[in-house]
Amino acid sequence: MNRNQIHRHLRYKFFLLKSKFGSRTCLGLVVTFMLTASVGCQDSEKLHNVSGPIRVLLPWVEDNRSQLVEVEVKTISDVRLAKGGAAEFYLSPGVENNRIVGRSPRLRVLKSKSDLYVPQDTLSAQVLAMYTHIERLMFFDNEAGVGEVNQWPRQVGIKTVLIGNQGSGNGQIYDQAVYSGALDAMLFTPYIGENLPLTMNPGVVAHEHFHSLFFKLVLKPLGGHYLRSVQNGADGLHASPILVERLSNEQIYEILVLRAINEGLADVWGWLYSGDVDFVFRSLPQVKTRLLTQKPQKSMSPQIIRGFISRQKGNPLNLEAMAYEEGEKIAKTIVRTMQNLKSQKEVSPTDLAKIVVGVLKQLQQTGAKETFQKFSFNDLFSTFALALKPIDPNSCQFLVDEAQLTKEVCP
Amino acid sequence: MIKALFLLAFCIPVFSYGQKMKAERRPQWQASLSYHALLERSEQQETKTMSLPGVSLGIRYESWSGYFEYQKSGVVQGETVGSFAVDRQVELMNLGFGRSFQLFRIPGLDFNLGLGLGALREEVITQLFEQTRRDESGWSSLLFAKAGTSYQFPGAKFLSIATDARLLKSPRLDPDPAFAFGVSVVVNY
Repeated sequence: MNRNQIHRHLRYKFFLLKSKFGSRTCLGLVVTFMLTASVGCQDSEKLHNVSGPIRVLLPWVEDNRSQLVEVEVKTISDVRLAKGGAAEFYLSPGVENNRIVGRSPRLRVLKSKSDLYVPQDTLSAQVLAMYTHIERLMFFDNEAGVGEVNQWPRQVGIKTVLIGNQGSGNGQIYDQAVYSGALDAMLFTPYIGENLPLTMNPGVVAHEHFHSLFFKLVLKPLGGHYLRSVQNGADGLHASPILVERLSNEQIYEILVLRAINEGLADVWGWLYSGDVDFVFRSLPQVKTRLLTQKPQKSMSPQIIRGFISRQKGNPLNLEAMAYEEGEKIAKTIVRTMQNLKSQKEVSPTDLAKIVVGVLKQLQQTGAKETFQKFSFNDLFSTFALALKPIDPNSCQFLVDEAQLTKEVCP
Repeated sequence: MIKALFLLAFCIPVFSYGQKMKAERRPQWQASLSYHALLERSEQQETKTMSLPGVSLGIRYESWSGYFEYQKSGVVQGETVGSFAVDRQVELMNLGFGRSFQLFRIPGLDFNLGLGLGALREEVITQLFEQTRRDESGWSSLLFAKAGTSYQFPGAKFLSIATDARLLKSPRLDPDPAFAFGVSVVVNY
């Protein structure tokens, strides 16, 4: 049908309508149709097509307290679907062929008279808060020299249903955030606590994001038995007690030491990004030991760890708890050393992040040469001291005193 | 499904040979109180209803009518997560036009179709711990089409009741277009 035929057809239809209902009704219908079409074609309050920085009202941790703050988001291109260069979100996602799958949440956002975007429900606020933190972590990674490690946009599961033996009732796990190396995605379970939701906690988002850096720089290159264990969920040893039974004590030692280092450095990254020394407590007040300014206890020696593994091999939950405790000690030692450094020299969080990146690269080299079955926490602190030396050679003494180490740790 | 039913309800009378209503040949003022349920997307991404009470004032001449309508929801409490909560409120102003048809030979019962345009504004109340803040949008455009029935009580011609279903189109609504249905009590003068 060509254009003339279409016009003729439409004119004929209009004539038929006119003869049936009268010209006023038809005119009204046509005008309304045109108005509807014009509204339908409007740019939906500039929610679908956003370019350039926008201001969003979000719960934010500032001046050591949670408050509502107008923050700038630079890379978002569709506010209604939270799409942009930094992150992609999946609501209650599933897994298919080792990939995270699911629908993107549709957000409700109001654009105020002063061009401020205000989330209209808690889901929208959580997603936008995470987008903003991940965007800032992207810039933080770039400045720290690890911007190329991850693929962007990052994938994030929200209100993820995880079932495990830690869960209550039907086994569903709440108040948890995890990074899955196999899926290369951050997964947040529903938050049922009464404080700052994990999704809005900058330290927690940065902590989980760091796991992706550690996975790609340190764990993934290890390959072999280690990667298989991690991909089967054995990085969280509790997830697979049968697998733990199959592992040798030396393999479990390697997994535990790397897990402790991973958790410890992730806490350091969380602090560097958020500036919050108590970010875990802010969402999970029942976890009282993660205050990073507390003086740390001495880290376990390899002999003590091996003895612990022999006794607790049948209790994967205890093994994992031990990894977390050692991770806390590492985090406290490094944070206090960095705070001491900050008090003496003008260093930015990015400068300090570069030290952590230095440690990661050193660990990568170690992994390329041998397994971590002979690696101790003392070795980690030596690596840290080495990365610290170019910035401040004198900080090593503080580290030795903090972690109750011997002077040989200092290069 | 709901949209399909609405379209059916809208199309049948338009294309049927409806008889025009034999109304009085003098203008008639109408005031009404209404209650509508607006179907919208919830945080769980499912459909939930928002209550929209409203008032309207209009004029009717023969089978034609025009009216101004104001609707405002109460503060709708959203889900709370931890110490964070978001509540919202919606306000609508509509200018509508309609035409009545007498489809059935029942005295006082008529069927009507209407079209209109209006404006919509939203307000959000955000709470985090002890901090509370209100933000509101500007007015944004809205169009609607509606189909309904009304029944004028034979013994009390100043009073009628009406029901209608509407399809509202506005970029602020989710889904867009959104569906609403409701009832109203009309006083004719």
